[in-house]
Amino acid sequence: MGFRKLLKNEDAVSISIGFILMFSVTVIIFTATIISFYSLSQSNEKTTMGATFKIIGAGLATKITTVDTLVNITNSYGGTVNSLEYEFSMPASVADKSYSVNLTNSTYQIIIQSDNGAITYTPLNISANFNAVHIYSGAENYKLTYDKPSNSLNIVEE
Amino acid sequence: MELIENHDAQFMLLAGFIIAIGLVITTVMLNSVIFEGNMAIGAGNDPSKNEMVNLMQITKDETGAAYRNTSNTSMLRNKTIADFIYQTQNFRDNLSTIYALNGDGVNLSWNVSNWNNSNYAYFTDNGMANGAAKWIVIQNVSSSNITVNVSTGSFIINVTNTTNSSKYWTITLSGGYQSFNSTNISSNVPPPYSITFFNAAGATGNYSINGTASGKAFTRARDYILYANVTFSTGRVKADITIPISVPW
Repeated sequence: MGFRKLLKNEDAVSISIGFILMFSVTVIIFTATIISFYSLSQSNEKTTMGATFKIIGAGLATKITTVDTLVNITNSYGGTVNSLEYEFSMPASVADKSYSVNLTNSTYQIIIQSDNGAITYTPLNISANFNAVHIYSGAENYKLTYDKPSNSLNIVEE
Repeated sequence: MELIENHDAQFMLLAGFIIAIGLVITTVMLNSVIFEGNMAIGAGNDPSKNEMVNLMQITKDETGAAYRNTSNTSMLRNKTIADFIYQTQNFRDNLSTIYALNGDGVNLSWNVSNWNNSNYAYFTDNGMANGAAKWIVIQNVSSSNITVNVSTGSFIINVTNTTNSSKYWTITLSGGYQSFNSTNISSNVPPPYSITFFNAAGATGNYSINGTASGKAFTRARDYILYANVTFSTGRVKADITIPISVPW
């Protein structure tokens, strides 16, 4: 009987308690939403950095291969490349984080890494000598050059 | 009015659904915005390798054509070279204009010092000292006339029957003009035959071989190696290339 009475009782709580309850519930729901969204964006950030690093690595590998191909095409004509420069730019930051690009000539890979753990490896295939270099994203503008005496490719910051 | 006065909470349910769907849509949209924001990276245009290949090939073709046009005349050498330079400069100006229309810069220049000083090419495959010393000039020849002028050193031309390699004729050439017509060659080696240069890195000079091979007329000839310097520049790429060009072919 008591439960029935409670169901039919329309007094509920006072306006002040009702407001406090509603306010608390709203705050809790919003906090929960924001926290879940934030954690979602964190994992999203790493995923997008990985995807962007892949694009940067593939683009860089293409540029190096382009220069290497131009050198080899010229050689196939019996010619010599006196100088060859290819300017390119990379974003200063990805997802608001700086990163480093390690171009190795031991395993011929482009390793792009950020301090939040995002890392990608892009294979590199060239015939000319390649001087290993470790560059950092801050410079933004870089130059890929061919050195005729040593038949080698270099990357320098502009 | 009945619906409004109905207290069964339909509107509350409806509002609840709308808020829930709205939250999902907002979350997905915000995620997409962050993803796109992070992905904001310019692809950029890569320079076409074909442009460079085309540039080198047409420079080579045009240089050969200009040489053939001018050297066929009986003018004095300096006049012939002046005529060659006039033709190639005309080509250079037109080519620069065409590339400029695409936003690219092209400049060509030629080094004709070998021609000017009568420094004939080596008899190697590419006309230079580092070229292959033994190479087949042409195969399956039914008739040909060979004219050779050896300037320095000596080398060997081997004419070998295509089907029977034991039938061959070895011609050793050293110094001055020598010419062999189709009858001379056929009397030594029955056609079809191939013409091969041996020890070609040890001799310089010029040659001309023309005739019929595989049923088609052919000409193989080389006087000099001229050098063309090609500079190519786009917004991102700057290249300075020197290519040797065998003339007349």
